[in-house]
Amino acid sequence: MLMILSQNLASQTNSALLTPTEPDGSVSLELSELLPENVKTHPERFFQVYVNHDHNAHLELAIQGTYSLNGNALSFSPIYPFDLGISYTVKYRSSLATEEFLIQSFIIGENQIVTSPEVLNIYPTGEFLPENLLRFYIYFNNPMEKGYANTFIQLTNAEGDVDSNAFMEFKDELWSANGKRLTLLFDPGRIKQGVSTHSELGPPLLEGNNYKLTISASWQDVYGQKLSVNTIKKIEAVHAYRDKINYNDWTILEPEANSKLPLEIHFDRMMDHALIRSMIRISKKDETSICGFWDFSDHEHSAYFIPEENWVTGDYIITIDRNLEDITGNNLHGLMDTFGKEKTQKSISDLKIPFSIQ
Amino acid sequence: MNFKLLIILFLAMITSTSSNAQDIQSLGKLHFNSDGILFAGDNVSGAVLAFNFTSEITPSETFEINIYNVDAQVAAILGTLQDQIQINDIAVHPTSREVFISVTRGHGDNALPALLKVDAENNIHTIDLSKVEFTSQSLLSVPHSSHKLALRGSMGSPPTKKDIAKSKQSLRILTVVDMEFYKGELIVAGLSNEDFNSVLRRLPYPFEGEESISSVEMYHIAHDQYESRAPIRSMVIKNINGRDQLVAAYTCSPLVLIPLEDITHNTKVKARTIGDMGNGQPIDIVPFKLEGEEMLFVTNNSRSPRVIPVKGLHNAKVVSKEDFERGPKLDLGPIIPYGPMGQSIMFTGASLRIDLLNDHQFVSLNRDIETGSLDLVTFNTKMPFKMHNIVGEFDIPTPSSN
Repeated sequence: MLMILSQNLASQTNSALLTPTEPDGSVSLELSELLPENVKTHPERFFQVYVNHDHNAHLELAIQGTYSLNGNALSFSPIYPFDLGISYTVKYRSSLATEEFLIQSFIIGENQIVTSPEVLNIYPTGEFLPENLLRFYIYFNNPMEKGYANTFIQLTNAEGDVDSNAFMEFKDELWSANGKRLTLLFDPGRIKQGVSTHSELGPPLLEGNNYKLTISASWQDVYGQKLSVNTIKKIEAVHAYRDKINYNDWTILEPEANSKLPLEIHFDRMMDHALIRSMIRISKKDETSICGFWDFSDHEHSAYFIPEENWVTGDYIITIDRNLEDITGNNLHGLMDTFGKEKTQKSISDLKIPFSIQ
Repeated sequence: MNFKLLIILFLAMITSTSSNAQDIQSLGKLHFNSDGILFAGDNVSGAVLAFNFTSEITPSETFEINIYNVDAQVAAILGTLQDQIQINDIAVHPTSREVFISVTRGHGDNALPALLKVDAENNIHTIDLSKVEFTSQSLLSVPHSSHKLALRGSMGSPPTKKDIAKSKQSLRILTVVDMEFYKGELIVAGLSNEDFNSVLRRLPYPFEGEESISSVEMYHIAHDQYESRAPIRSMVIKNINGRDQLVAAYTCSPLVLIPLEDITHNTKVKARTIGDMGNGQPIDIVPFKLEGEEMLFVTNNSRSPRVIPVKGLHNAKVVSKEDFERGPKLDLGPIIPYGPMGQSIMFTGASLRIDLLNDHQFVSLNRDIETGSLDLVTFNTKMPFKMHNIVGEFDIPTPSSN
């Protein structure tokens, strides 16, 4: 996240207010002294962010959002992104010792440094992908112009022929709220066996063949800047995932106590990385959640959970929503494509895998 | 099953259990069931959502809500300007009596859904949609975004700028117009993409991807014709003549009964017209009790609210074309209002959305008639008006009191 140092620092206080330059940025107050624990309970006493009073003269209502504390820096992220071009005011205390508030305003979109757009990642990250792959996730650094996915993204075979029916044409494209992640879903009719388009057109990816997914350099971000280069992902289609996810084959590697080393889960196949983030929860035995973030390796065959705080010895539980999917849409209930196979009964309870840290 | 339907069912299956905030594209109509599950219509994505607010607690005493310029206040806490806020609906939680508000923040491609609640202290809280659990189900056969409302002027005058803006609205905005919860099912009134556009959908809850659709036809007294395109605007479920029935209101403004057992998949339901409230577009029907008697409070965007005694709906005459002379029936003619439609009552300002706050008060999203401000205010059910815009005999002091 880009931050610029506020020009109007109260020099005698040694505090620094960092204001955002992007709509999804946050406001951060750094004090020279270490913030006491009680700041956590009433962070709003140290600073609050308002829509500028010029716009809302009769209001004293602060923007709602979440505060986070890191060392001697207190940050505020609004629930909704800041708007471009309107003025915001920060009321903040320059030090713990004073009850006096300083005022600092900022506008996003003026003098801001906007980085050039680029494709950051395409998931699944592997080159060898099963022919019944369900979706791609494409991550951009800037929010992109919506409504052009089918114009600027193409799937071509080794001969260079474009498959213009490969992806689902949605009434609305599947973008994340910040406009930086596109979910590109293959037309399920092409993947599912026994459906007429599958029989007529065949699957978009056919085992043993090579393809290219190309994201055109002509696509613009919301600031009107084009991606500078074509982004090409090479794909070789391999055998479809037609077997149920076998979680008994997963390997869990426990981290060491008093470390922030990752908890490792090695799956029996490539899993949907985005669903891992929302559908796998790590908690202590008493159900208190462990905060942390996920990272992936081995082309999403493995997921690493890195905790915010050091692990402590004790018993833990990995709770997995059975709607967690592999990259072809099979979940822990059963197969996405049940053609010619028995349908399985849904189990309502989450999958729970215990582990201990010694 | 045709291929198109298979695809739709397939998509319904893969989205029915998601809980990512980015899946919520809009929040429109709201409806609580008695347990505290909040249902919301997402007309942009063509889905219904269910939020679990079953753990809210009962307040120690009843409270009033009076928030003036509520749209400006919502704008301030969502970090934007008043003109970026559109309040879509309100709903009172069955236990906590807190008022939940659905909002669209921003316009066009930048529009984001927001859900807020007002507590007993009149504080407004944003509900962080990225942290709240919900389930959803995509609806079958939703109107295409590209199908728009018809362009028309009024009484021989050409369409105005506002008429033209109206005609650019997609029929999709009428996918979910009203909802009721009944014995484990969500009943949704709105439009479909089929030839007969007005439909009632039934979805078992918890959502499992199942949905039945019935088209609805009714005799429209004022238009003197059978109609099946315009959606039901508002509805409630009442036991009438020993059967659980929808009491539903249409624009210009028939009131109809629909026995719930008639609403079965792939059928055309013939609604039973029992009255006409007069021209205008109904907004909400709120059941309440007035001195022990069951009443319906029916708000309208073009006229004063009407209070309809439920007992008058029992044994009401069901009418059809045969009961009237041919030709339209206007407000100024002798026929309208027709049937057991109760009485039009005094109400100050215009209620844009209303719900029952407690056993003797309504809470209304109200447009002040003098200032135009948008307020969230409490009204007594017996005398639903405020004094601040009224100056009469009792506002002038008697000489002796000065």
